[in-house]
Amino acid sequence: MVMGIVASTYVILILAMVLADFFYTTPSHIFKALASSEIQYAIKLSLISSTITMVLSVIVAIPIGYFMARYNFKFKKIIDAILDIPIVLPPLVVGLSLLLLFQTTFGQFIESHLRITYTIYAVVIAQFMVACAFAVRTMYVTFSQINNRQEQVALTLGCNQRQSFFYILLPQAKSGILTAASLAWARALGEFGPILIFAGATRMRTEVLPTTVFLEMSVGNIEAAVAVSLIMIASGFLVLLVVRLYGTKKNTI
Amino acid sequence: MGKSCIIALFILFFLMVGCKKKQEQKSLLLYCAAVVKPVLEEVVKVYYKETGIQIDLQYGGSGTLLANLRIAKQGDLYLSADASYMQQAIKYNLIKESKPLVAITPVLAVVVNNPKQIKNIKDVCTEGVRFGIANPDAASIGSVTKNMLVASGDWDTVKNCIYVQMPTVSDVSNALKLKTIDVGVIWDVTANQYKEIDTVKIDFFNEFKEYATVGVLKSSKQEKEALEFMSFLLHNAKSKRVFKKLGYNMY
Repeated sequence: MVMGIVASTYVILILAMVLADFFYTTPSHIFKALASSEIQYAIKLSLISSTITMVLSVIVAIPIGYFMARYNFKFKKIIDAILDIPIVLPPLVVGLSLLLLFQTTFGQFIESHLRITYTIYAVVIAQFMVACAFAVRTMYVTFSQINNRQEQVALTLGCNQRQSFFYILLPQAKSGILTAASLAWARALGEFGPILIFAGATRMRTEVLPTTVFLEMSVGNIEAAVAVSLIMIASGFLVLLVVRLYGTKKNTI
Repeated sequence: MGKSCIIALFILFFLMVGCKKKQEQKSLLLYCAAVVKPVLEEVVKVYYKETGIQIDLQYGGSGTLLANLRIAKQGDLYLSADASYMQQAIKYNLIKESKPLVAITPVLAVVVNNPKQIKNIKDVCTEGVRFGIANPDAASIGSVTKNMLVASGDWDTVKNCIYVQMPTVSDVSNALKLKTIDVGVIWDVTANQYKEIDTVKIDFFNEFKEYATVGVLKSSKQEKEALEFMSFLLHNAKSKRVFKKLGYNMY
């Protein structure tokens, strides 16, 4: 009973927040927002950059999660804590640290070949630094929970290490990978603080949807800000729902 | 386990109430444009020593702050970087009384010693020069930058050379300090705060002198205190001394 109340309060609070947004705006505001070329650009950049971030995060998170879950090595606890730093850091600090990193000799070397700071590459890097940490955490837990017995059996049956990883472990981790991917994608879509510092708030260049909300609010265009927020909520919800449905096809929804 | 959890939750809750108590000490909330941040920080300390009233400062671009206070309908004072934002606030029926505070002039700011040899506004389009401005929507200096360049007929060329837009004048100044941009448009008083920033004289910029303006909000529940602080800010000798020390010219 008590648990039910606690649980439902939170769900109701989330829905109430979204409803408050809804009541502040009208369909005409949303269509007007969708018609503006700045906002179209922001939607496009947001979707593309979050998707790139998602793919990168999964590619990086699978090996890290695998090593952390299957091997014991020196300083494992320390590495484990390091992996959580992006989650713990305030977003502004992530942005500032990236900005400073790209001012060092190493960073300047990269910048001399490809300009990163204040460009769309900075958007992706800023999203990746935070989103990947969540993906790594998810993959670590996923691999830890899968019993390694089957892999060992596969090894005795003549599989090599690589085959047992790709044919035995990865298929079992499918739903974990989907969760990691959707978490990374959602995180990247909502990223704001680091992007503002590391990529700026240049309209039609480094403007992602959270930046749009911020800029529209700055001009006092609260209706458009809310409309864009709803677009974000809807697209985020849709993607997460599709992933959940697809990921748990065999089980119930 | 369950019991200790509940006890811990209770303790945390009481600690939070303690924090709130502190917050409820006599205090005023001032929405403060980034350009006057350094001086307001000092004045607020002086004012606290004199009267025991804490002034909480919330910083941001003038536009961002205006949007915030329109939604929140809370707070006691608003300090905008130029009069145009105060006019907007008056239009929205948010302001009880307002007064100009300090004169500020836009300047073309460069990294100290001007390594990229920037001499006029056209130089921002030189290959390899990174030009940053404050966002024309979010910050007063951003909209002034745009207006100035539109008036001088440079905007159409220069707007394609803008490497980055940022939310406030402080962000542009910080970028110059970190050398992530080579040149930007900021307020003269902000440039004075940074030893890492030099300015380039551009004559027509001087025609766009603005006045940072302070106003008491209609939403203020402590109107008397808010008016008192405003008058302290404008007229008190100690406040004037701080403004002078930090290189601000009062109205």
